[in-house]
Amino acid sequence: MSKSILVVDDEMYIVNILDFTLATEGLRVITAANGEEALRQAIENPPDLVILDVMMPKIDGFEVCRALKAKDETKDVPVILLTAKDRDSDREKGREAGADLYVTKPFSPTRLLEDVRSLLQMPTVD
Amino acid sequence: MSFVHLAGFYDTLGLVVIGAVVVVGLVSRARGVWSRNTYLAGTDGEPRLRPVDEATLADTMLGLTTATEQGAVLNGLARDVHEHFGLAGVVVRVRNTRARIFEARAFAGLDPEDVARVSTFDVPVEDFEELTRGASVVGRCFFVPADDPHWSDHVGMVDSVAGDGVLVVPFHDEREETLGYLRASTRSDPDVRVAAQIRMLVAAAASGLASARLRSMLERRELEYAIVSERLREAHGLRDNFVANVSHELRTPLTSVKAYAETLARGIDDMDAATRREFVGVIEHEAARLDQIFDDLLDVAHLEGRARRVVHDRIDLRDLARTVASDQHDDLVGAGLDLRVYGPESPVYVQGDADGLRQVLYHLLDNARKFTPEGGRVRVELHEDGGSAVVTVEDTGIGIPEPERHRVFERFYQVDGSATRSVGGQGLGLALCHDVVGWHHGRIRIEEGAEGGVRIVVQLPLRGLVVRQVADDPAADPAERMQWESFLGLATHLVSELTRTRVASVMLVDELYSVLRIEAAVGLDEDVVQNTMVGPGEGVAGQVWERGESVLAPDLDEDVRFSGLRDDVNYERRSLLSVPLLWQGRTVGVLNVNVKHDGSAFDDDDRLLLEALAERLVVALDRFERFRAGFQRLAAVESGVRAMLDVGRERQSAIRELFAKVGVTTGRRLGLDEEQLRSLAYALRTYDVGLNEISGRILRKVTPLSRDERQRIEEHVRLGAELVADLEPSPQVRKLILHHHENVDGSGYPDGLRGEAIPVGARIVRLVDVLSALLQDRPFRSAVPLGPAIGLVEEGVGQAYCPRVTPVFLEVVDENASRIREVLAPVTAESPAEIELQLPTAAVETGSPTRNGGS
Repeated sequence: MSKSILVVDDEMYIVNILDFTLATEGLRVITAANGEEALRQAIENPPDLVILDVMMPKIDGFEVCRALKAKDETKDVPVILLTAKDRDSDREKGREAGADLYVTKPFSPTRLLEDVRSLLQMPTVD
Repeated sequence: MSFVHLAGFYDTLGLVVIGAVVVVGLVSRARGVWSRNTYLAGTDGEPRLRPVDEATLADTMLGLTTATEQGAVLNGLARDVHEHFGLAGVVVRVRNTRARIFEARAFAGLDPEDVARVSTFDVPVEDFEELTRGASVVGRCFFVPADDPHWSDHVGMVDSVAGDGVLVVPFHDEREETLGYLRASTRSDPDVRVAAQIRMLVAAAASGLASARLRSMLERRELEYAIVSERLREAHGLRDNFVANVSHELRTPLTSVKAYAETLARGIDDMDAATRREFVGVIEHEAARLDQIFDDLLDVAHLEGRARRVVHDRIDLRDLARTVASDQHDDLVGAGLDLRVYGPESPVYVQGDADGLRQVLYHLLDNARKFTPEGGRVRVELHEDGGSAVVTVEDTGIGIPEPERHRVFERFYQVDGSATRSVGGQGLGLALCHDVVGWHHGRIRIEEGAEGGVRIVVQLPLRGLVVRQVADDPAADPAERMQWESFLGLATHLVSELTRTRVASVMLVDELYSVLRIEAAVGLDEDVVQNTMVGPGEGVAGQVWERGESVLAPDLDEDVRFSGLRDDVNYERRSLLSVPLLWQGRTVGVLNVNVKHDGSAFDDDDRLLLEALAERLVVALDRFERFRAGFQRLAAVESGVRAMLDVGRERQSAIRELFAKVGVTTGRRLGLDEEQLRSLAYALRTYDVGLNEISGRILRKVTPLSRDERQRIEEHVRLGAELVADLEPSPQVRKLILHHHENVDGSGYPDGLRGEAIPVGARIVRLVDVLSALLQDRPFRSAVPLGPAIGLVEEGVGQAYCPRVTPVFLEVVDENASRIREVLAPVTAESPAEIELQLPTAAVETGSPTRNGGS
């Protein structure tokens, strides 16, 4: 069964392009538009990796990440924070929340795909 | 006055030299030179003034040296000299260095007429110097007998009060500059010890003045430091936030553009045509969004740059609304919306910045477009209301939840959620509207639309508000000046709206020059505002300033007090009202109103209301002064004033005004004192201010209210009390508002008070509220005629309404019955349904100029 990626972002265009990019590699994409929905989905049905926006209504990405890393079902799921926040203090917060990778927007879909592969320990295509 | 001239005087007068020690120069000729060394016995045999005991003297001196404020020192000195030595006609004059005069600043032992006369007469420093030149080497006191024709000729110099001799005691600063002098009338020349004691008091006062000056300088410095550091902190925080926000807002569309472009570039050959089109579509859309953000930022920068520009263009809002709606028509119709514009048949002129106002309308429409789904309606409506032009833009869109609503005017604020994000608002548009409207001294607010969307209401003053411009001061902070001007504008409008007058002005005392200046006015010409300076006692305002008492002139032509003013062009209508702004017993300014909307003369009820307003404005002024830089605290003061203004604009109507009078008359007949009447007059105009905070949907509801909704409505009394509390000088008004829904049998809210425990004023407000409500249409019932309405009130006596207050109230109602019917008639006849919904009555255009779609 193909690996599943939970993409959490409230920007529809971002979700769509990630969906498109990941799907080309045969990855299955589940989407969530806010932190609450993301937590619910991740706990009900743990994905293989989470790509998480930080600035979201209600629960922000840092908190979602922290919650995922605190739960047994999801603590080993790699988390990529994908965010417009690029200050050192933000990176530090991401690290503290337990994120595996911190990617700032704007991002390269190709490079993000490589990061996803390496976190999932999939063989590289090239 | 020349030396020769002066000398001539002395020579021809057959001098009697009182001083035993003859000193060189003028002094030898200036009779009455009188110092510790040159004291002569009295000549008329009247009892001498007696010195006071040492303890009293020491106490008095201590009081003068330690007074904290200039006014207190001067008043204290005059009072002490009058009381301790029994001297009448005590006047203390202080040097005004710029104007080179001595101004009368404190009085004791004078009747009011003399105070008025003396205080309007300034003594030129030259005159005083001529007379005292050379005298200071021997002493510092002068005594002038009553029969000295020279001194009594110089009325101003000696402030002569008929029949008495004059004692003059100058005081000096550390450099021997004459700061001022005290004069007192005395029949005989005082005993040497009395003279010495008076001189000691004067010296103590001089040192008190010096320390008061120092103290106020220190306080100002301290305040400046606090302000500067707070401003720096805020500026830093704001800029940080701004940069972070801009960067985030730019990054979001940029991210999409880059990601889609990259993916497209790499995979263009493998993609099907539909995907390619989709990707290009996203790129175009997000690029446009970027463009829009840049435009908005440029607008903000541009408009901020011109924020200080004095805006004076005469603009036809009706025309402007049509143009903007026409420009945006295609966008709105393209989004599947129905756009309609309504307005009066004639132009609506305001003064302002055409570019800025165009931006406001543009953003309001743009906002409506973004947040209204296909098939919705957008309605622009323009009308005049009292002194304002009101533009309403209402949509049937997704609306904004109540707690978020007030934040939409913050820069970069956007209601959270993907639904709003996806439509591409940047959170700048409404902030910009807020700023522009603010520069026009108008107001903008957002409320729930009748059909669930939002209604944004912009109110702009119709008649030019003129704020006095000060010459550019490089040290002045433009942001602070803007805040100040906006505050003054609000205050002036508040006065004009609540008193229903066409002309209103706020004057403040300029301590430095000792004049009253118009700081802001509506209905007055710009050069009048810019150039009017009123000295103490001059004109009506000057008299109000000087006496600290209101002047109510029902008819200026008939009024002997103001015979000199009859030809003054500033008084358009012959009835006027001026009240002092009193702060800690001092007059710091004057509020003037003139020309009531209905052409009637001012009466005592108007005076009570204006005095009540003055009390509150002075609190706001004080806060403003103290918190100038603290933008947030300032905002709190401003919102207090705005809350007051909302009452004035939203709920003020002829019926309300009439019932306010009925209420005040009732209070007067029940024996309320002046203070209570003032509070009542104000409370009668503010009591339901809390209703503004309650969802319009509940208020307009036709079906019975749920328990929860009921509670929310009941909550308005607390909300109202809180809203006014911020500027309330006394707890009285707050109490009247809080308890205006209590019933005498204890069944009311919020506290279930009974009978006499409910303040009398609150019981009156209760009656005014219920009767005036019964007489008007409500969504859930139609108006009740006066007779049956009175019957309903009578039925409630003993349960809801007070058995003592109600008969008096109904008696006053009865006396005003015909007037009440008259006022009610047009309201109920004209357009019952539209009043509730604030809908327009006439369509400007439904044809081609606005190209209204969907019609």
